Amino acid sequence: MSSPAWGHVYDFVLAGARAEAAVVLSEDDWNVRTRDAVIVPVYREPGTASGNVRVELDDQLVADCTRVQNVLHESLGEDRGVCERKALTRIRIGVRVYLDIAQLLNEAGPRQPINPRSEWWPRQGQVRYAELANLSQNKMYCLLSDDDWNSRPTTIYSAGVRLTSKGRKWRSKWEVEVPGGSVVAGHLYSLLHEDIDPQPPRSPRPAKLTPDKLREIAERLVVSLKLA
Amino acid sequence: MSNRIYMTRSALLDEAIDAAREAGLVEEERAPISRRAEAWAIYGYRRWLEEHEREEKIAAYEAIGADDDHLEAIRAANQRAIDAGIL
Repeated sequence: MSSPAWGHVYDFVLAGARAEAAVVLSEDDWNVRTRDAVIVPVYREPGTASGNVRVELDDQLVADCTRVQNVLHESLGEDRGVCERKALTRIRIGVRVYLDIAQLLNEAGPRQPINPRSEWWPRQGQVRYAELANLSQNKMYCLLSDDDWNSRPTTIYSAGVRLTSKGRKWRSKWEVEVPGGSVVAGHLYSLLHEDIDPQPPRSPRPAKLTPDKLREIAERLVVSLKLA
Repeated sequence: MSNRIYMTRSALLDEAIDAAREAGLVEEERAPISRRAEAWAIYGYRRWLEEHEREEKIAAYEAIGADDDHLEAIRAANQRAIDAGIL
């Protein structure tokens, strides 16, 4: 297929997935330069829209902004056309809320969770390894979703951006330099809590990113996902 | 930079091998090419590009080089999400 387009809805064709469709949020510059895209998955779950983060596309389909993540181009099938304008705006707001963009831009530090669970949960800004099955080497991620979400008793996943050891000139507009490497704002993952190592990586790798680095990541995400 | 810099890995490799051979960095006859020779070909090609300041091609090279690792990670993460019922 040709590169997916920002704001379009595609059939989601990854085998075994519950999602029926996907709304592409990565900007077109990203989509043509890489073989992946950032999407918000869409489910046929009528009547389950709620709050800012589960957005109704029509009377049948609901987009879940808490599951925003990268997928390969090959996971996207037929182009269903441009997402309806109001729904797309609400999805962008939902992703902003979930990724806590406003808070990160203000360098305000993590929000206090309202009803945190007693067992371990990942904190916003922490850097942790995650062990993904079928991946030969564990990768490091910085957690971005807000602590109220991360700490809820029913939450099993959080949003993270991947840390890479080496910056690349061609993607510098999406990168933030951090100790020991860089973060690519656009390498966005839904990480299951059970896959995240509670222990921080060994020094000199950072245990958490500073508010100014988180602000820079948020600034890049606003660009790469067109969240302004 | 043009958006039409995307090259398939095989196309890039063909070009890399040709350039690396021209530069004397890989043996002329090696079929099928080994992974080591492949790696040297791409490394040599990158050096050749850098010497000739082919910024767009370097970007294409780096994009593909970065892809392999990242795409594998995306596949693994998507599969975990599917297994957990969240995708």
